[in-house]
Amino acid sequence: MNDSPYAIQTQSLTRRFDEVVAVNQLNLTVPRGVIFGFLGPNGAGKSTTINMLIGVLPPTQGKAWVAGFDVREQPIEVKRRIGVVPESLGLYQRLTAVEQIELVGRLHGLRVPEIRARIPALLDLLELGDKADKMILDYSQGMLKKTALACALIHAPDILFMDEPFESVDPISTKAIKAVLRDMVRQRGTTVFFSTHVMELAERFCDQVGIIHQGKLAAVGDIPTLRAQAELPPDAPLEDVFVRLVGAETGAESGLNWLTNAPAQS
Amino acid sequence: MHSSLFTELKTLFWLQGKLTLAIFRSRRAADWFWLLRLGLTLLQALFTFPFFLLMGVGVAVGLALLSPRAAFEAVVLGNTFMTVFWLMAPSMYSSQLMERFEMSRLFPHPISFRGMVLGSTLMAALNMTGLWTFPILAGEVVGLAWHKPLVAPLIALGALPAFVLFTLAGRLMDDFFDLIASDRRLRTLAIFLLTAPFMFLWVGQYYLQYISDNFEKLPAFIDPALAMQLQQAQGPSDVLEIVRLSRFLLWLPPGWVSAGMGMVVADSWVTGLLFLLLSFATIGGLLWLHAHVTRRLMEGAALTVGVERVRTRGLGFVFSRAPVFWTLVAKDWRHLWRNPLPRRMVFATVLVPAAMAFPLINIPTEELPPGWDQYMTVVFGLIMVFMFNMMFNIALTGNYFGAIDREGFGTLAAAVADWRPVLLAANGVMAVFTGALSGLVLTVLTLLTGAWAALPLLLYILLALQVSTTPVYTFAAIWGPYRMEMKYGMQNRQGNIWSFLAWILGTPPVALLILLPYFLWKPGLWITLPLSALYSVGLYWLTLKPLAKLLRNRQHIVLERVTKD
Repeated sequence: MNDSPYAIQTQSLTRRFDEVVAVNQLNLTVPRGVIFGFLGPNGAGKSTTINMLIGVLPPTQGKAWVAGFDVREQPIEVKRRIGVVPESLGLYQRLTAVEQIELVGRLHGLRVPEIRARIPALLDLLELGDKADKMILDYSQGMLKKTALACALIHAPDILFMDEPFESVDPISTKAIKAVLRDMVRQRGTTVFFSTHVMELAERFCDQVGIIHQGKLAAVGDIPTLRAQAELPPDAPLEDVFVRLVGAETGAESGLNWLTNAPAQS
Repeated sequence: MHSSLFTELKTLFWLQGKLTLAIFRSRRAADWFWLLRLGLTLLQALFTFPFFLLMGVGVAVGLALLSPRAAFEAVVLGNTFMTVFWLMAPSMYSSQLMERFEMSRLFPHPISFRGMVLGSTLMAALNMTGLWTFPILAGEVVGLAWHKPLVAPLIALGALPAFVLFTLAGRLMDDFFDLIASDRRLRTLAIFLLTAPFMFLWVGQYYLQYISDNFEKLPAFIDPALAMQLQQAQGPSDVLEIVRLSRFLLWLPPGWVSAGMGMVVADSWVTGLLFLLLSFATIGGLLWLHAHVTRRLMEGAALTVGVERVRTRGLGFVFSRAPVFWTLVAKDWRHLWRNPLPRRMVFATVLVPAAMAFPLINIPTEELPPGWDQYMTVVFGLIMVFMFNMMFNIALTGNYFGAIDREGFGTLAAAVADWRPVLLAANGVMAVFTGALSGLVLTVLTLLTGAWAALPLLLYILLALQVSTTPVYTFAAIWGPYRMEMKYGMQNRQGNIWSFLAWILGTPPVALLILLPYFLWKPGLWITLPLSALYSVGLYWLTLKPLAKLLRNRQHIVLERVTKD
């Protein structure tokens, strides 16, 4: 990593798809060595932002730096320093988990004996050991996610990007993965950037949180700062903070009386 | 820890090797089955590779037996055909046998642009098409060199751009598919456009056959002098030299590489060398194009015609205003039309009968006994009826939940208590779809042949056959569903043997009840036609409830199979 103080930095980052502005003038800085949760409702622009940051989707406008490198100008330098669990996972269906992880390790220039020495521990952590020699074709959604996670970790990246990483993963594995990620952050200075719409996860796991809504950054900071920004008491759940900051309505007041009111006597 | 180009290529070769070996891997079967499969594969390889070699030897011997000029003509023709084949290969079979070397999956990883371009080009040569192209090209080199052994090195040098041209043609087509991967409509259109030439080739061979017997009916644009010469041709060398297709094909890249290889044999040294230079320039240009597309793909480029908007009004809207059964019909109808598979079948429906009907023109009807033109129409009509029944129902009714409902089956499983309306709606929509398309083609057929009287009978058989075979196809759909591969427009090779069984069990009773009296004793139709209707409807009605029960009991299995890739 070069001497940039930030793991991630964006400047007016924008992505349009025809008339739709998926990400709109995003200005974000994520310091090194933190767990950063990127929150937003479905379709808010989380995955688009991650795809731009990992160098697979060019911004329509603006700039982004990851590990101090411009994602547009130096995508290979960026990719060498990051691990990715993308939304689409991008796994070869007819490889086994071991082969898929080995492929990613090789692409990151690791020596084969080193990769093979690292794989068993990763498989144990993710509880994939007994299925590791089966084709990915036969994996459940949770196992696919775990395999993608193992691929993202094999080269011990400086920055880890994860798109909804714990979705479909069982609680035991989730707990183990979170512990390892915390150790990576505390001991190695790794930065973890992940998207989610699970408030509880963000509240318990993240050092900092960014909230994106309709492509725009609605708020960013640690959770007490966000509570203060939302003018809510210190014990207010993040869910309320989120709803307040994005200005969303619960919708329970209007038009849903038929669902919430007691049934009429017949 | 950083990769060099060599390391990247080594990794990509390793990946290609793993994907190739995965062909031999069984999915859920036991270890002993894997061994059996490996044994069979080795046995298959023992026959396949010698066959490829034999093809090469055949090409070499064939070219050696022709005159030098004819050998050159044959090489131009052969290489043009091989280029077309390479262009079509990605849409035909390689993705079924072997998981595609999909570049986009590598984009999030640190692989250089050079590595991606070079690696993807080299890997394109290592597929099944590459395995049989190499011996054929080697055969061409040997066959051409037979006529002028001293220029063998020059011919071999000319074969190099030819092989690269084929490989790049396949690679560029893969690039094209990567570009349009996110647009279902473009994908469907591309697959149709790519497979259509094969259908036209089928029609074309009948046409050639017809023309070869009826020289006086040669199209007007063909020079009459040429026709006269062809009539006097002695053997294939003469035909190739007279037709001289290279006149046209030398305007295209396969013609250029072929001329670079073989024109020296036909004593055109200077032109041959110029074509060789042009060949190298061409592959340079194509390589640049591949690199350019790869760069665009790495930057997230995609060809699309926009987000698909679907019609919510029309027939579906009318249906959806009614209770459960009509709601299901509306769902099935919409789902059927928004699925790429039936759309491709509509294209095929136009092309296949055209190819099938062409031989009818070859039959000199004036020499037939009276009434035989009627019989011929019935026979061809019947072939089409049976073919359509098989084509639509094996692919769709026999695997309805894996081809049409797919993930949506989860909604049914969660909401449906009585499965009879589900089956009735699905079968009804399929009957309308199959009946409308087949009926249209049969009407056109009888219009063309003038055998109007055959139309009601053909339509009746069509309907009776659809009703009588549906229960067994439905059984196949419940008993052996599988998730059909929609990407690239190819159906999963896995197939469902029960569908074929359905056809074998469901067809004979109706066929016997209608066709035997028609051909042997027509008055008998007054009894057998109502009988066949009774049989078809009765069979359907009697089996509906047990099939619905079977589906209810197996819904979890069906759901698992149709949603899992």
